[in-house]
Amino acid sequence: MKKKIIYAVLAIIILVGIIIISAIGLNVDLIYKKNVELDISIGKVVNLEDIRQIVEEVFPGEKAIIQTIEYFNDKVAITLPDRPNKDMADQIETLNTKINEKYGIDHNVDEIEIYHNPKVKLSSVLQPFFTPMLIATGIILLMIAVSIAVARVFSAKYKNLSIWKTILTYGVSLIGIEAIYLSLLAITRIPINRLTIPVGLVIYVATIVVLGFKYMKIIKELPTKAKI
Amino acid sequence: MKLNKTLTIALIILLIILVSIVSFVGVYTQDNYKMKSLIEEYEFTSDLDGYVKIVLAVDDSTNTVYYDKDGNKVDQKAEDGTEEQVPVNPEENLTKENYIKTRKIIEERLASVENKLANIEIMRYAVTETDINDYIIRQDEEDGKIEIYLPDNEYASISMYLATTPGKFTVEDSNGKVFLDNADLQRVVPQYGISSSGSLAQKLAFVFKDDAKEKISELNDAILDIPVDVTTDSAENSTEENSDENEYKIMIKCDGVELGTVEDYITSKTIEIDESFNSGLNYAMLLPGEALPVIYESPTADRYINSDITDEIIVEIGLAVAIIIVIALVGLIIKYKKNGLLASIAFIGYVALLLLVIRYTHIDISIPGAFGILVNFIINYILSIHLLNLLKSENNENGVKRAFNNGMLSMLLILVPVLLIGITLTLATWLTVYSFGAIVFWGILLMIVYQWVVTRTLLVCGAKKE
Repeated sequence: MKKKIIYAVLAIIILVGIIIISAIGLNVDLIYKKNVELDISIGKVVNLEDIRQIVEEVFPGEKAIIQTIEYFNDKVAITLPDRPNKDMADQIETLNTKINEKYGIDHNVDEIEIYHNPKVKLSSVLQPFFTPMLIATGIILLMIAVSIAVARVFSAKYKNLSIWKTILTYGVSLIGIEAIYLSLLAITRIPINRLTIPVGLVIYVATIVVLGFKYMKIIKELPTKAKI
Repeated sequence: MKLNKTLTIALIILLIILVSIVSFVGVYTQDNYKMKSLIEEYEFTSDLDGYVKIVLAVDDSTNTVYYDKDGNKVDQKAEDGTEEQVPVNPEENLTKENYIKTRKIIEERLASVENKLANIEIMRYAVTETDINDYIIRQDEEDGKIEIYLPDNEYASISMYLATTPGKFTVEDSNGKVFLDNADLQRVVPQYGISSSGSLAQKLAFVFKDDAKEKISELNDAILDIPVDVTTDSAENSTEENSDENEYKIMIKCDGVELGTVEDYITSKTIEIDESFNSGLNYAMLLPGEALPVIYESPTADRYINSDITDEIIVEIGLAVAIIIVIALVGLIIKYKKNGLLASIAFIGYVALLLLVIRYTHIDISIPGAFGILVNFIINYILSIHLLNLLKSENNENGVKRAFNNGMLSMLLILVPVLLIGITLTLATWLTVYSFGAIVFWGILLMIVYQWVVTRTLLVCGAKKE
């Protein structure tokens, strides 16, 4: 009964996730969404922490990505959520003033280069992993089927282990866990960022580890003779 | 015998310490008043290292087209002629669908260049990896602007070339009739061939698809119409003097530039022209494939942007992982006593060896790849706990061997599927996918070998003799 409730809840999570993704899509982090990049040439080696503090003062509460440009670390790129230039004119003026004060320079605000970066298509980020992982899943299922079939030749006890049930368990678990992960991302609106895929891969591997231990136990408890 | 066992354990521990020093600290030598590392450095993908950002805007310029007084197109301004400003991109081409199509063609070009280069005989030993499949393309579908973020290597310039060159290929005659185009090309290959003088020469071969047979046949009929010049070439009869601008000829063109002419009857599905390998390789990377429906200007901005994940952040994360490993190993020692200590020492050796393997196999570490390293550590730790649990009830050599062997065999249920994931992902062309796959593959392979050779030896030597 407990298991059925858990499966029902997981199925609902996946369903709600599908609905949310179809309706409004996934939430995307700043790095992948449309953003505005301010390139500021300072002329002196930059301390990113100093720039971060200044950005937090000028753009309070906003997510920002701060990077150095080129090889001499004397230029920074500040990436912020996108907005028209006129809406941030005052803030850019303040930013320029604070950077001038910090580094003892006298740069004009017109020297700040503003780039409006378009969004990245999420499919181009996710797709390179999707196909290889699907193939890997297929190969794992095939390996399991072949292993059980071969094991049956050497030991009768493996005849008590159903090939189809084992494949189904692995297949549903591996695909299901990723579906739940994606659905939870959609429901909780956690932004898709550079960690999303690696975490998904770790969850996949963790599922294999858990299933591995589960089947270790099942095999250990298999009756030595095949059931007729 | 006990002395041998002790010596063995001491020797293994010494070797682990040595490997650990080499891996974690490094080996340096003096080179011109500075210290040079003898150990291969780590290599990173663009998400950890940095990237070149190329910004492409739709070309909204115009070309001047000249007409003579009769309305015929001419190359230069003609007396009593007219001229017209023709946009590089006609208005009807500037649609959202064409912008998206252009981006997709650029993506296909970038994705296929490594394969194309690897399939060219002269490049076969030169191409190891291109690092080109580690890019992000952003596009504003309203105005067509494209930004490409690429690793900073020699292929950044190739990418700019592929993104800005239209790539419109035709085999056409001087009347403008097109016999073959992009859709008919199978591949383009720079190769050695025989020149008209009989010597070895650099050639460019255009290989067409099987279903272009009819079109090639039509081309052959047209070749028969080419006037044959029966006068022998001599110093006085230079080709320039004899050439007639209105002479019928069949040309191979790319983006309006004539690459060569077709004069001989085509007996196979290949047309060869004289072309140096340097320029031939450019065409080999560009073609086959569709021409860009929208033409972009040369990059308006081209700069190198360092990753926001700085070296300091990587060091901090590394230290945090090291602290967690130490705490986990202390837990092993507390719970499993002597065996826990031996397994912990073995674990440190595994970590050191894995990091060296990653450096010497030149695997570019990406963010997924870094997670792959953690996956290896975690699986190795779980494996150690599993083995130590089985060894709890054994305290003599044979019992330890038996329990260890059974433990490793049962863990194959986990290790083999993860190894298969690693192998499958190493076959991917996308660098970040490959990175995770390669690290997991080497990690699991090393784990299996290392556990059988090193950990087993330590644990067996640490057990009492039966």
